[in-house]
Amino acid sequence: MAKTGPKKTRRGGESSKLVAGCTVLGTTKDGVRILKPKGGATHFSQKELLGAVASARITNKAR
Amino acid sequence: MNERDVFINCPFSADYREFFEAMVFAVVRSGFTPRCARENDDGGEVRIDKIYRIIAESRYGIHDISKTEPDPGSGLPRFNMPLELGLFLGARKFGGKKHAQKKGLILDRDLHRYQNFISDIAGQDIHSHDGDVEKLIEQIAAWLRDAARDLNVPGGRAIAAEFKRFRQDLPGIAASKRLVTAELTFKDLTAIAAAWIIADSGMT
Repeated sequence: MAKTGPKKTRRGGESSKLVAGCTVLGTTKDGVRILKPKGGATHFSQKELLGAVASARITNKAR
Repeated sequence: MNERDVFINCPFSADYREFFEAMVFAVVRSGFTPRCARENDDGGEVRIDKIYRIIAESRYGIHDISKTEPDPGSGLPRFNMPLELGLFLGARKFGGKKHAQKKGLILDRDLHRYQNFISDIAGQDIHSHDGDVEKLIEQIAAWLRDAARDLNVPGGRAIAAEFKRFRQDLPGIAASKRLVTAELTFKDLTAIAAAWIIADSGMT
């Protein structure tokens, strides 16, 4: 007899966000999946990191 | 063993810092996870045990044995890189079926120089970077593309051009936390590289 339990659903895109057990942070335009590093940064929260990267890129582009 | 983990075995001295940053950047940009003995500052874990663990967890290894000069303080050369290379090769040889799949890239300044100081590794995959960061990145990208059979790994010259811009931004990123780049840890560097690459690519 076939199982008739509740159908399991995946949250949107969940299956595509793992590569070899690693979380994918994003995919570059040339198709490379950038993986989440092991452990977080020592001196930055994720929010600080994103802000610092964006700010440095704007500053150097303006030069 | 993680299929995307790359054990980085290289000097951590100030004069090698740019090469170290280039290795981390190239590995992240190629879609892999860099691992190294500096990834965890847990004082409770004995250093050699940490290295055993990271080697056990890594499918790939990049070993730069180019630094053979005596340490200015002691007057003796540092043997950590050849030791860790030996552990990696030992794991591959004696670690059973799973670890026999490990692949390693050995880098030196000149292609045949190793024959004068570590000739037993003849027959391994040995490449030279000629003391040039761009060439180092090219070697890593080409090797990862081939070793992992991953055609998505970008060309080395393209990664090297991105690394140059990344390095220009790095002091500003460090300064946001009142740090200089030399104070950024391996974990900082890896996280910054990943965030920068995603921002640079315009994709999330």
